[in-house]
Amino acid sequence: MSEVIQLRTCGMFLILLVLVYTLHLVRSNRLSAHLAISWIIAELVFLILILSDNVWAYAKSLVGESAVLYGALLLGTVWIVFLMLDSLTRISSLTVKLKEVNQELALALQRLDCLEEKDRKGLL
Amino acid sequence: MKVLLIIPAHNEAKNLPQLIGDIRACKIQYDAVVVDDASSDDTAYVVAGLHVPILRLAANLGIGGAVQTGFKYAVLKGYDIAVQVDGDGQHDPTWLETIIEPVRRGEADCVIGSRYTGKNPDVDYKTPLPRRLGMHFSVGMLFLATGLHITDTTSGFRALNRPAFEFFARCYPVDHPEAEALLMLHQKNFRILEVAVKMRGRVRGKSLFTFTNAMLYPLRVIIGFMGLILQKKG
Repeated sequence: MSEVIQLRTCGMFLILLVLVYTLHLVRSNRLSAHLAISWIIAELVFLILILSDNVWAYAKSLVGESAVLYGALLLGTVWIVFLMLDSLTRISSLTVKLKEVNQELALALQRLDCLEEKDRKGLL
Repeated sequence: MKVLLIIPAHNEAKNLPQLIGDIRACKIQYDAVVVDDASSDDTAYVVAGLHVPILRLAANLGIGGAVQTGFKYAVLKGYDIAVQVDGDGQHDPTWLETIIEPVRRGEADCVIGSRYTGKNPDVDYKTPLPRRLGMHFSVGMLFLATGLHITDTTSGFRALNRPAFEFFARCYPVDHPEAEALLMLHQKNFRILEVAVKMRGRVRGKSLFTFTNAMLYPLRVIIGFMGLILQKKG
């Protein structure tokens, strides 16, 4: 039992740490609140699950103490992988947009060069 | 038919004057555009001095992004044929007509200048071992995926007709795009043809196909092919 309490305390501190760091990134404008919201919700859900005795007791009565720990670990891992895939999707989408902006900028600059050249020659 | 030579260049200030000079020495005069892929050397300055249109990318996009910018330019300017010519000078402009002619005659949508085609392999060109291994791998992968036997999948010396480069202006692979681009063309039922050409060795500067890149190349080809095969058709 004491081992479970130690694990819960340790997990709680780790999640709190991650939550505080996420909020710090948002506050310092290094992370968009829109992008961080799914991570913050996930961290809060984990925190509630760890702190709630009722949820633990119910889960233990269903599958047993050790299975609850493994199950929580598995669910947590799957959720984190899901969030990472979500982030990668956003990165991929932004990379494509950035490439297109970069290309359009190059094409626009070339047109500008042409116009300046014509202007110099008095053709405009 | 209006032909545009697309010359992607990243830190090729030393090679471009020779290449542009060789292009201008050809019997047929071609329009050309240099795509400066955020070079840190004097590429943009050198190209301006050569009086060739230049597309300056603000951030490095890699060879795929640079070539695609050229395709977009060709679409905007109403060209009928676009030809990729590497800025390192390996592609000898004297072979331009050889790869353009089948496109002009309507025999193919994409013509690849090949160093290894069975009829007339280029015995003078010495392919570095890592590149050769990577190329054999992509040849095999392309054959498995499409049944096409292309001998020089890594050759960037290609001529494309307007429908083909319009397609690439919309979507084109990013890293080491040559083999993936062929799969994309095949998926869209474009006709691909190889013709024998001779290529020159790089005279100045460093190739982007380093040992590390060569080692990662098979993995990139597999991932790229998987991505294209898994993509929804449309």
